Amino acid sequence: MDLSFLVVVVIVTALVFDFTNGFHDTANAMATSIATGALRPKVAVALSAVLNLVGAFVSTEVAKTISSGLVDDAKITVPIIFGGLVGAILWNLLTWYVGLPSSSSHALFGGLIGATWIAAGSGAVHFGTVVQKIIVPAVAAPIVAGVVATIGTYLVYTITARARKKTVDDGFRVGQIASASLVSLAHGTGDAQKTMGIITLVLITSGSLAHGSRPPLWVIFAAGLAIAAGTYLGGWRIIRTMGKGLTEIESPQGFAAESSSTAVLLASSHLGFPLSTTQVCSGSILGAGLGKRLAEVRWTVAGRMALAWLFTLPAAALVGALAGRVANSGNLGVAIIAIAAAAAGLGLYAAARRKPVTSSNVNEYPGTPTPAPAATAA
Amino acid sequence: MHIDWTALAQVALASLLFGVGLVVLFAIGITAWSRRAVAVEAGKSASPVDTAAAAFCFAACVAAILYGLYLIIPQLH
Repeated sequence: MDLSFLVVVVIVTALVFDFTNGFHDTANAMATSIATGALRPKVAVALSAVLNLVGAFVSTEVAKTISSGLVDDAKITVPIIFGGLVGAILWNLLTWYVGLPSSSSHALFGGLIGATWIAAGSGAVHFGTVVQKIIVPAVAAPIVAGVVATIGTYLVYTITARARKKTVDDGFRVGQIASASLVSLAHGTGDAQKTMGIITLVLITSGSLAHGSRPPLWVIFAAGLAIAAGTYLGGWRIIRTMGKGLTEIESPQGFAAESSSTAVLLASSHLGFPLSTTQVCSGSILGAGLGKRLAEVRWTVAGRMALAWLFTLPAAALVGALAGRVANSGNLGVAIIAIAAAAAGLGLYAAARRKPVTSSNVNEYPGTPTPAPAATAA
Repeated sequence: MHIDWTALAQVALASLLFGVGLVVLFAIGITAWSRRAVAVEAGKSASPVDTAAAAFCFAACVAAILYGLYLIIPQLH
């Protein structure tokens, strides 16, 4: 197998994207379980990582096209894929730094759209499909999930109003673990497979694999491990926003939110209207806040999330366009972009280190009264 | 551009049915379980209705989880 410099760089970049995808999305499945104490933070991310890994092996049916028809796939070249990945990675890191969930697939599609647009003109971008597959689902996802979670939460509190509080809290914590696990598994089957698809298609394009090949075993392993490692690392900044920032979550709300997410995600992927996991889960948590009487929902946080979603596509597209353009000029361009992206990533990492969010302070959202940690109570 | 509103409506309905249905079942199960636990702690014998209701609800939730697994794992289809 003779791999060019470009192909090797793209495979590594795809795995880096997969890794950021993992830690960006840990929050979707686990934020509410961590917030209610159903699972200890480290246990939650470990469970989610294992289930993502299992999911990666369970579903290796990769997509036949990279962009699902958002752009003219015949016009997609390896430098375009590289540019798209770089745009998606940087957007993922930036939103992680500010602690906002955003859809990794939308970031990837944004990057690809930008890179394709610059390389092959606006005619290669199928704007109708963008509206159909990105914009409409992005609006529908939080609304559907939010409504289901609101009704579910309201009914849970009504039904269990006269039950003993301890039984209710403990019982729903157990339920949360089950529903969060399903979300994690579903995530692994969907998202790890995206990276496998990209690597496989790059290998096919470069002639290393025959047309129509299934992903080789090492690709499945690498993609599964990358997403699992990212998940285990835990995007604590995002987990904190989703678990504590949007609203205070009790275990019945957490269970209602996660059941709503599971139901919406499974229904959407089996009835042919794919919705973004991030947007579904955020909508569910919001709904869980709305469904409980007198629960406070922080609309400023929700507004910031909506803003981040609005910018996901164009921001990733812009970076993707620039990166794809430079990468197209040859190996030197690819190297320059790879180094610049790594520098930007390290910069964000260093900035995040100044005010770190870890498994130990994930449940303390700034500006909210939180019980003082036992260590400082004395 | 073609937006499949029918599919979206189906997703919304199925989500509502399964999402809310599961939560309601579990809540009823927990409530019955709680009544049972309170009775047992008070030294009274648990009402068989509560026990049966809790068992039925939790069994239905387990079935829902298994159905979810069936949907997620393509090898089972």
